[in-house]
Amino acid sequence: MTVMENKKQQQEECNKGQLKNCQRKKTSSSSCYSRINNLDDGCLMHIFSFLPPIPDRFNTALVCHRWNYLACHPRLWLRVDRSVKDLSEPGVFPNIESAVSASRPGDTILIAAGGTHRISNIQIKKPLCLIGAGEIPDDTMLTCARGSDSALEFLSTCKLANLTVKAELGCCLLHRSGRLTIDGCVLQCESNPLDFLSCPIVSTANSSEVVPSHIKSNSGNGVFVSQTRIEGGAKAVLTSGDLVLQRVRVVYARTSLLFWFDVVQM
Amino acid sequence: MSKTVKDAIETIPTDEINSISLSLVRSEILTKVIEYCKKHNSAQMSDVDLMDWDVEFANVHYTTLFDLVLSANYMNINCLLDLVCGKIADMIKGKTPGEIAKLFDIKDVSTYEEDN
Repeated sequence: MTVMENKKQQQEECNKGQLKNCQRKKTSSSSCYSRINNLDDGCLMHIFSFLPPIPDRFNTALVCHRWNYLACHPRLWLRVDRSVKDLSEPGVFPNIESAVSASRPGDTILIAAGGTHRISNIQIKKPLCLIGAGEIPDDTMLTCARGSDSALEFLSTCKLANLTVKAELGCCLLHRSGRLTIDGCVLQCESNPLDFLSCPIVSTANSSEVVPSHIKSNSGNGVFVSQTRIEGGAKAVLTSGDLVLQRVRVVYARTSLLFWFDVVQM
Repeated sequence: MSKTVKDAIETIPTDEINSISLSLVRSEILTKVIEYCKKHNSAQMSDVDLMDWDVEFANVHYTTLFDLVLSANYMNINCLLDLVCGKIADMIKGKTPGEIAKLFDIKDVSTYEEDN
């Protein structure tokens, strides 16, 4: 079995997958080693499934057209794009509510950058990861109008990354239970609020009784904030349960404050 | 271990089996696959040793890894496929798109970044 015959057969094998945007060049060089783009779609997607969504899988989407198509494939994550006209395309949704209801536990929802996504009182009861698709959190803006209690309400372990959540009145994130991770986001509230109404993070969760408090474990309710800008609001966190603020760090950048803190049981 | 081979054996009548055609697998890669299967089928090593052996096994040039992926996929050997895909994923982790394209020598017409 010569190498060239083998490569041709492999190429035919690869053409099984549907490649809409790809312009694959046949390797005309006499190199006898295989290239990563000779792998068929299924294999490449299997490789991508081993990567964490941010930053790695996201970076793979930027490498070339074919990888972009595969990395954004609905099998790996759901996309929210307000401008989507063709609703029959699987895995792409016009708004966040529909993506959340269509998602399965453990899915990642990628929210397109640019413009504002209006949301209100979205309850998230399954483990999900919401990621903004922009370069900086300010690119992806989620706005919650007056009249809603909160933009997002979490009843399950979730993660938010690279997003801006802005609440005109009321709180940005309402945490009921589970472990909420907020990484590299921006939370904006009213600058001069009525104290009890407007806080970026409100947590009503209680410590779980099962876990003894002296064990530092990965279970138990809590909110874990890192590298997040918090603007406005009377307090950064309002807890009406018995979780407390711990390990607070603040970095005073030129135009904003970056926070790191945990809200956990004592 | 290989579902493809297993299916081939089961569907062809036994007295007619002389050879099973694996046209997509090169001989060097087939040697490695056989080595992997033999090691995993022998019950001699402990799990930890087996994992160490796997790490050593996967520590090859990435072009060999791609061949292994294709072969494992063709021969339908799930554990080998996971091992090799995981290794390639580890190579991708932590790199920027430019670095990934450079590492794997991806020559696309233009990258998605440039288009947007």
